[in-house]
Amino acid sequence: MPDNLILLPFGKNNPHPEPIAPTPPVVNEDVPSNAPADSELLPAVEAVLFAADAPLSLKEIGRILGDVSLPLVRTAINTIIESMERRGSGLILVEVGAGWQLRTHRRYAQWVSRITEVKPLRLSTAAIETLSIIAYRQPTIRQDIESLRGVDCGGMVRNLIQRGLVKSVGRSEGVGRPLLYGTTPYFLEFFGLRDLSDLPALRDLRELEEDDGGDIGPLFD
Amino acid sequence: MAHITDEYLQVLRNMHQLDLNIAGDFLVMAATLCQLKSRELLPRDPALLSEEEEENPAQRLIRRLIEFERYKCAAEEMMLRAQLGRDVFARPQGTQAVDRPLCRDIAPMELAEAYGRLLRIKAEPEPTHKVEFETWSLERAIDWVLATLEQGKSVPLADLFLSAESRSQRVQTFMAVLEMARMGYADVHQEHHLGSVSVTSMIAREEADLSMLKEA
Repeated sequence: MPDNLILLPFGKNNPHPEPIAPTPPVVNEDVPSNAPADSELLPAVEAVLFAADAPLSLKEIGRILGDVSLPLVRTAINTIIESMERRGSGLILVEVGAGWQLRTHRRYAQWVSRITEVKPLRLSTAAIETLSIIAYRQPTIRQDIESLRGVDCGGMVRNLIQRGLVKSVGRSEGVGRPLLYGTTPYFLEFFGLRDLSDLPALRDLRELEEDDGGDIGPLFD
Repeated sequence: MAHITDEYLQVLRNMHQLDLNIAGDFLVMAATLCQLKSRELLPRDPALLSEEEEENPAQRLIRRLIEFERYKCAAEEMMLRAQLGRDVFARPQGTQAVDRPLCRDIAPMELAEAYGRLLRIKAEPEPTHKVEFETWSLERAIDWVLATLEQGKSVPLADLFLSAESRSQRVQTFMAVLEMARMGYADVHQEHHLGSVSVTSMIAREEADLSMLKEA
């Protein structure tokens, strides 16, 4: 296919659920934008975040508002977060993956879930274990995951790819050039993570031993 | 040792009915543990001892389990996080409150060029053989059943199916018999429970009025 052939975006019947990766919001440059007055910066940022269907970076928000400087946008966001917390809002403003996003507070999930058409992704314990091995060790090959879990993980990895949480990120230089796996931007959004360094810290061996009340003994008593 | 192996085999037998995958994984684990245990029990050749110390498989297994334990702990923490679409919700993609243009900044000339490129892509060759599916209307199926049956004579339903040529014809024949029974054109009769079903035409082919079906 010629490389610059125009393709229409996938429609609702898109048979491939994979490309969940967030598309950056389109900024309509035809609409003239004068930076809001200082007093209106906060509500303007709030309004833009409400209307966006993907996380917005500080830079994008600044550009949408007509060249508002990054420190000003950051201050506005911090103030919005504080005021939402103060009045116990049903919404939260969080930094996920590519930028900032308004989300409903998890305390009200039971009611919000009644009006949403999207079926929640149910991840089994085994799926989350596989996913966390990939997340912490990425890029990693299937054999690594399997040697840790001690069981075949092919189906599990495929499943995670289908759900848009994992993707192949290249091939290893090792024998057979196996595929390398890593997490997707959607993975960050799904778990509300800023970036991979935001993952919970892996506990080291000593902490685990303390939990078990002493050192780890021999395999057989 | 024999006792442990017996227990493993017992569990395995139960698993057979469940899932071959799980049973397979279990088998590997059980066999590995048996091997490790037997290694511990058997006296070792002192000459080989120094070599073995470096590659003690039991040690390796323990190290692997500890490493996995770290990820399991992390997975538990991940499980507790607010998950998008389950605990927290955001505006779904593609439902922006503002209208989003389908494509931007495309000059008419670019569209024409893209169309030209599309045209140059080699068209798929004409198929050399094409299978046509014959579709039967319900009306035609009824007409066919009436033509096959003699008025007042009963025919086993199975015989009607035998003379239908394709699967879709068999389906339509069945539908036709149901429709005819509804309209009173046919009497469907079963001798006894689970016995063969016979169809009797109650009307001559010429008398049947199928105009109702045409409209539907």
